[in-house]
Order: sequence, then structure tokens, then C-alpha cells
Amino acid sequence: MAELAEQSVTDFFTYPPIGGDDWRYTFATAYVRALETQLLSRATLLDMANAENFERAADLLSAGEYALPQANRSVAELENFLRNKRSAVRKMFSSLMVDEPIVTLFRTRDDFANMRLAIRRTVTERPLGTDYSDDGNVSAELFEEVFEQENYSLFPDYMAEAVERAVLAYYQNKDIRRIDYAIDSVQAEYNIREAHRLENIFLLGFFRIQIDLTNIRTMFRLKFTESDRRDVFLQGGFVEPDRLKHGLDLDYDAVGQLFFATPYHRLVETGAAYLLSDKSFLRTEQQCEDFLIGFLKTTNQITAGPQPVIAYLLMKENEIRTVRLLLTAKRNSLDTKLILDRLGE
Amino acid sequence: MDYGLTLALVGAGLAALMAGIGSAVGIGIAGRSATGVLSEKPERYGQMFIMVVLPGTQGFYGFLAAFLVMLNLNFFGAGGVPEISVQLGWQVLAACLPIAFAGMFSAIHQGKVCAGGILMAAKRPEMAFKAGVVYAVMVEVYAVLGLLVTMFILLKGLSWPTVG
Amino acid sequence: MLANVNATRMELLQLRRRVTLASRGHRLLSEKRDEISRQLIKIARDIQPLRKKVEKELLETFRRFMLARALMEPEDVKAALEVPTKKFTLAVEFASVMNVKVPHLLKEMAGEIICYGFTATSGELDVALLALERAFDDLIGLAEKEKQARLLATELNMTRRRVNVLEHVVIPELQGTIRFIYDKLAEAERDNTTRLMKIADIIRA
Repeated sequence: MAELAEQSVTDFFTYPPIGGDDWRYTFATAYVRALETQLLSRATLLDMANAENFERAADLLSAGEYALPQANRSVAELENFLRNKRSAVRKMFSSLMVDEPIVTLFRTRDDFANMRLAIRRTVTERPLGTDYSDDGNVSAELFEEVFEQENYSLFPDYMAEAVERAVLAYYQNKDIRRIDYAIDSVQAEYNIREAHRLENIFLLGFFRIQIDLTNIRTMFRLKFTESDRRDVFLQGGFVEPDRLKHGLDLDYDAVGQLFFATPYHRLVETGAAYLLSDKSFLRTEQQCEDFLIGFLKTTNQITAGPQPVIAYLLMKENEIRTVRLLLTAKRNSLDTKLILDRLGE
Repeated sequence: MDYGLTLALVGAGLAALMAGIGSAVGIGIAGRSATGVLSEKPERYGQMFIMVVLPGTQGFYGFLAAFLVMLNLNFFGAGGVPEISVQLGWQVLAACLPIAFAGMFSAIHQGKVCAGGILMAAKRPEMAFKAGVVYAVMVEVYAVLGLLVTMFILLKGLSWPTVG
Repeated sequence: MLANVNATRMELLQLRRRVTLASRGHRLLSEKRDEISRQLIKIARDIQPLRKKVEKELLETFRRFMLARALMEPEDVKAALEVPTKKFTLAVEFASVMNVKVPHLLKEMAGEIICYGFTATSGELDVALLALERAFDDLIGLAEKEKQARLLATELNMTRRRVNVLEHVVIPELQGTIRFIYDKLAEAERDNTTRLMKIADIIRA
């Protein structure tokens, strides 16, 4: 465990280790393995992308669990439908996980999202509103209560810390974006810390990859928008921030070389080429997603353990996002090429 | 006081006990895996069944070895159980150990292999027998070898007292 | 022909003055009309490609935005776009084209348009917002031009109506009246002459 924390990019070939079996998860693993067979196949997704119009694309889904109601297929209804699907998956995840802390850890994602919204509203003196996500550890009601009374001690520690750092960062020069940067880094640190505490090699690897991928995307986005911020990279990934900062000064063709010794070489190279030719991050994001899914798929080696269950949650969430992408794209009749670029071939 | 009989009984006990524990754990693992898959795909029951049952064989082997010891000690015949020498007691104990240990460990590992096989069968039903069952049977082989050694010693290697 | 006119020499002189005035006005107004339509054509010629460009840019932005939105979790989208950092002020000042007051839009933009962090947002959102920022200039230019065109068109319509009224109603009417008064006066003259001749005959006899 200790060594892994120190590991840098060159210590593994493509994906970091995921740890061993945990026989308490035998049932849960078998259950998600059976569910995995029902994930939408690549062929279905491609057929949807190539469908003539929205109705055709939606009909392709009608055989499975994503069958939309025939009568009402408006965008709002669609969003709602997919959000319910996501809640259902998360609920199933929490019922399958034996280790409560892991469930908590994944629920914090919604806490942090809620917090971004609430702090923005607080510092700009807008009404707090009631439209917070209820999928976090802290319920939407408590959330409003805490921010109304500004009594942050009701929050769990990590959130209190995030609120404090975010507000402080904002008042340094009244920049809204600093709230996000602060919360992002608190979230990254918290994830890594929890993975250490739970002694879960898989989670640690996952969060470190996530940080790397975010950093790489950030690097491209900074280059693209010609922004001069250099202090926004997250700490704790496998790739050291210095390499990323160096990447900011290089040309798009040269960035790939910089990552030559890392597992992200191909990803960076493909992303940079597409960004240069099409002025879009679609390819970068598709590659990042594929990399992460590739890592999650290595949990196939595990016969019983929390890893496959976590992987299933994340893959299912990803699938829901993809379905939303395809259906919205079809409804607004976007170019099939764009969709295919995002899906990858 | 001769403790030959005690040693022989300890041997028989160990054979049944350890192999039994192994089988119970093994079936437990495979069974939980199978229920996980079956709760989504009940139609796979037939394929799963054989893989859940496989780790159970070691328990029978242990029981068989213990039964052989008891049979030779005339537990079930007329005339009662004879006194046996300490030396024979040790020999019986040694004879029981192969199936005791081989049974226990092979059953647990076979359970894990079966669980893996069940997970694979969930995704690729056509491979269920080709890989899942065959690999589990490979583990079984070593339990069978342990049983064979135990049986050879018990049946051929020892001079049991004749009741009479 | 005007009703209720006094067929007097005084009136005739006055009407003649009005006719000269009206035709001078007519000439001026029709010159103004030509100039306005020239200006209008110039603006309209600019508007067409600009409008096409803006429409294309907005469509592109909209598509990118749709993609970005679909790729992000709904709560992240909400958090990212809740509070904008870009400050935008618009002032209007008026310029005069052919004595028509046309608006001229002055905009002031400050701050960056990207108002969120990097972790939970998609790069496509950056692309969409930057495209929107670029489209803004053209959009405002287009709004300004379209308003100008509309105002000029109204003015053109009014001028054209005035010219027509002068040409087809006022001037002919005045000329009719003049002819009427002239006839009336000539009639009175002849009447007088006849009467004088008759008196001369009576005296001679």
C-alpha cells in the first residue's frame, strides 16, 4: 500500500494493480457479473448513432431497460428518466457493498457537486434555492439548513474543510472559478486519503488515474483557451504536475512525446491531433473515458471483491451518460460524425 | 493404558472433519456466486448446479476414509472393537492425513475455481462446461489422489487385527 | 380642386406661390427618398451575409453546448453555469443618417467567459462558450444593422408617401384651383367688358 502511493508512471505497464479477492463479495460480484451482460453492446450504441432520427434511435432501446414511454418523449422527460435510472443504479450499488465507507465515498461526489452550487449562490448573495441533488451523504434539506444558518459544523469534516477552503479561495480575488479549483483539490485529496484509510489498492489506483485524466484534460483546455493559469493541476496522480506544466509550453505535436513513458501516451497523442484538426475535445474525452473503462475492465480478473461492483457502478453511470448523449444528439439532429468521434470507432 | 485406538479414531475424525470443513467452505463460496448469477438469470440453474456441487465431493472422500477405518476396526460387526497397538494407531492416523489436508484445501480452492467458473458462465454460457467444470475437476484430481493414498494405506499397508 | 375658394386675384397669387413651394418640396423629398433607399440597400447588402454568419455561429455553439450538456451529470451542469463571470454592459447612442436617428450599440465586456473549474466539466463546454463569445460581436453588429434598416425603411415609406401626396394630390389640386380662379377671373373680365360695351351702345343711341 505504502509503495503504491509513491509509485510514479513508470512502475506499471498500462493499468495499476487492483488488489486481490475479498470473499465477502462473492454474491455481489456474481450479481454484477450477470448484470454486466445486460449492458448495452457497442453495436447497439453504434446503431443508435447511425439511426436516421430520434424515434429510430429510441426504438433501438425499446427492447431493454431504457425503453422510453411512447407518449412523452420530451427532453425534460428524458433527463428525468435517465436520472431515475442513475438513482436506481446507485441504490443497488449501496445495497451490494458490504463496506459502508466505500458507499459513502462514492456518495460524496454529489455532496461536492451540491457544494459547488451552494457556495456560488452564497458568495454572490443569490437565493439558496431547493434544487440540490439528494444522492449525497448530506440530504438536500440539511444542506439548505446548514447554508442558511452558516453553521458548517453540522457537515462531515471533509465538507467543512471544502467549504472553508472554497470560501477563502473566492475572497482572495473574488473569482468564482477559484471555488471550483478549491473544491476540486479538496475532493481529490479526500478521495486519495480515504482510499489509503480503507487500504483499498483498487480505489487508490482508480482515483489516481482519475486525477491524471482530469489533469491531462485540464492541460489541453488551458492550452486551447490560452489561459495562463498554471496552478490548477490536482496533486496525487501518477503523472507529476511538473510534466503537465511543461506540457503547457509545448506545441500540440510535441505533447505526445512528453507522455511517452506513461500509459497515457496514445491518449494524449490522439487527443492532441484531433484538437488540432477539429478544434474540439471530443476525442480527448473519448480516449480518457476508454482508458478509465479499460482499467475498470481489468476487474474481470477478480472472482469476488468490491472492485467489480465499483466498476459496474461506474460503467453503468457511463452508459447512462452515453445514452443521454446519443438521444440528445439525435433529437437535435447533430452530425453523425461528431457522435461517432465521441463514441470512438 | 494403550492409546492406539484413540490415535486411530483421531485419524478417522480428522479425515471426516477437515475434508468436511473444506467442502462446506467451498460450496459456500460457489453457492453464493451461483445465487448472485441466478438472481438475474434463473434459467442458468442447470449449469450452475454441477459447479456448486463439485466442492462437495471432498467431504464424501473424508467420510469414506473415516468409514474405512471404522469398518476395519469392526465398529459395525459382532464382537466389539479390538484393542490395537500404539504403532498401528499412529499408522492409521498417518494414513488419514492425506485426504484430510488434500480434501480441505482442494475443496476451498475448488470452491473458488467454481465461483470463477460460475461468473464466466454468466457471461459465456457456452464455455461453462468446457472451462468451468473441467478446471474445477482438475482441482478435484488432487483430492482424489489424496483419497487414493489414504485408501491404499488403509486397505493394503496395514495389518489390521482380526476379530475373533 | 380646393373647396370654398375666393376667386380673387389675391388668392390666385397666393396659390401660385404655394404651387412653387410644393414642387420645390417635391423635388427635395424625392431626392431624400433616393438617398435613403441608397443607404438602405447598402445596409441590407451587409445584413445578409452577417445574418448567415451569425446563424451559423449560433447553431455551432448550440450544438457544442448540447453535446457538453449531455456529457456532464445534470447537477454538474447546474453548478458550472449558475453564476457567470463575464460582465456585459450595453449602451446605446444615436447617430443621424438622413435626419433619421439610428441607434449605435456600444458594448463593454469584462472577465472571462469560462466560469467553472475543470474536474466536473467537459471541454466541449469551453469550446461552446468561446464560440458564443466570438458570436457576440457579430450578433450585436447584426442587431444594430437590423434596427437601422428598420428605422430607415419606415422613414423611406413616409417620405415616399409624402412625395406621392405632393405629386398626385397637392400639386394637381392647387393647379386645378388656379385654373378655376383664372377662369373665374377671365369670366368676370369678359362679363365686365360686355357690360361696358352694352352701356356704350346705350349712350351712343
